[in-house]
Amino acid sequence: MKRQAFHKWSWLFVALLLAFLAGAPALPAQAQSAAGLEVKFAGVIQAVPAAPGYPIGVWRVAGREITVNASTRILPRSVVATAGMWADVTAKRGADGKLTAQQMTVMPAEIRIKGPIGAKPADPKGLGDWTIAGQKITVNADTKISQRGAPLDVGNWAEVFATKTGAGLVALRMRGIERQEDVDIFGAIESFSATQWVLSGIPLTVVTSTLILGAPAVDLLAQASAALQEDGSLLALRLKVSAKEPEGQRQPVAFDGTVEALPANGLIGQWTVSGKQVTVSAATAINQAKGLAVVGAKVHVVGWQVGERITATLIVVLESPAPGGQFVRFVGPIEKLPDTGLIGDWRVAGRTVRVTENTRLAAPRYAKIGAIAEVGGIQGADGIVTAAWIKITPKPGPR
Amino acid sequence: MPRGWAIALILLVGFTAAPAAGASLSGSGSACDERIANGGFEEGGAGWSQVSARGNDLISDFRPHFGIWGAYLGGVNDADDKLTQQITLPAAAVSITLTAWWAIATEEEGVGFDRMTVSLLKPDHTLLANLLSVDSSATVNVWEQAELDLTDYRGQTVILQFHAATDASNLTDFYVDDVSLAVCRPTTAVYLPIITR
Repeated sequence: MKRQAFHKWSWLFVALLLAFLAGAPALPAQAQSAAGLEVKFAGVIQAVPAAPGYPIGVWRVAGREITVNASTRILPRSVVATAGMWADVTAKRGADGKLTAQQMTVMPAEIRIKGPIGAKPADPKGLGDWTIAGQKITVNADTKISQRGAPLDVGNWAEVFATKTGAGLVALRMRGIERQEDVDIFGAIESFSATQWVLSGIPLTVVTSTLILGAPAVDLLAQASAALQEDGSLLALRLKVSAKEPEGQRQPVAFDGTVEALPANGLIGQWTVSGKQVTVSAATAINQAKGLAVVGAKVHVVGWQVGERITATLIVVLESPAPGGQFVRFVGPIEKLPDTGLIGDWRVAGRTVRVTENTRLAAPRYAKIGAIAEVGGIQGADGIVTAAWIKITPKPGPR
Repeated sequence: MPRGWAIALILLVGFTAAPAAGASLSGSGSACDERIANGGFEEGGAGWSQVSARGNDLISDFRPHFGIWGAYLGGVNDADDKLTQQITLPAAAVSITLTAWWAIATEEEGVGFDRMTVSLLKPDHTLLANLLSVDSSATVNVWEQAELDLTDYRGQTVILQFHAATDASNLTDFYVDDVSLAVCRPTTAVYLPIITR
């Protein structure tokens, strides 16, 4: 009798074990069935399934409907998405054209602005309205401020994470950063045309030389690199839409390679990078913080490709065989210029600055003694700074 | 030993050894202990040791994941910041899981020049294992949760270290919060067959 009772329990265990093992492969099989083209985009969440079904069901992000099922990875797991937040979506487009999400990363709707501080309030705690990258940004008692990277003084640069309210942009966090070549804005596309885009309330002027990566649509997220104009407006140099469609004509491309050839004069024109032809325009960002862009330099190229042709939106120098040294950035008055032209040795804030054909000059028409110049370049052992870029502030000075 | 007992024992051992099945073996479901002191940094620096080459306070209210305080490493050029805590990993644990939330902000442009490494050190501060490496190519402004299995290190006293190192240009901030170390012990609430003599 006892023996029979034990046998009954042991078979129950066997049955449970078999059921467990039989259920194990169910998830991989489901994941494998979602074959199709991968679509990536980031945008404003417009609708999410209601509880208690959430997150399973149909979401709407930037006007697109996406089905979320039990296999979809929702990140962060602790966040419950609501309309108005942002989402980064990776999905498969099925044969019927419908999107099934593989991963959804939910983010707060935080507009990111990097730019120079044009004005700050007199309040010792910084409460009040600031002008950063030409935009009015309100700092209140809830704003978190860090000056670890650089003091938040007028003329310095700040990175601001802000939210858009009825009263304008309100800073959630603000930190001092190094001077950058260009203003940077990350936000949601509110409108776009051939002459102007508006990202989260921030207008950007678009011209024919503006490099546009990706097809814009309202409520998709986009990043803009821009030049701050004298009137406080922003001129878009590069606009990158956070969307990648596999069937799109302009395929985003990113690769590392070695510079094999450069244009004869300056950096604008055709580069050869590890055998690939790369078009560099005046709007291409060239980050030379780690070294100068010369033949033999290792670079990271970001852009788009049509056929065999690559148009670069960003080139980052990773390593350079050019004379080594430390990358320096500084700002100060121009004290000396070459006798003729702008190529040659300058003196800025007491330092010798060597300007070559590869130096990128912003607003060169303002280059005169007494004007204020921001210089980024490599300082060699001899103290001479080989300029990667110089930005000149339009400030009258003696001729 | 009767044959039925032997089958039952084999099955029980099999279930106990599989962590995924642990929940079905736990009577109360709370057989795990938290072994990190002040993992949310809400008590400031309590429980943690800080070393910052640039003299920064690594506990900050600038960018917490939850609550008011969090860890803030880097944020300056040539940063060399270390945040450490000594922990004991019991030999009797059936699973040991470290979780931590992290995020970055950076001026680097998609390349990984600046880096934060999560490591285990021996008590003499020599490296035992690198667990996770996060660099400045990561997506900015998105909190991610790292989940790391430390079960292989049970029976040891180790130092958990968050180490951020940045280069000479383009700032990167590394934010860390809600660090947790769940040490799960063998549960006694096992559903044994009821056998009466």
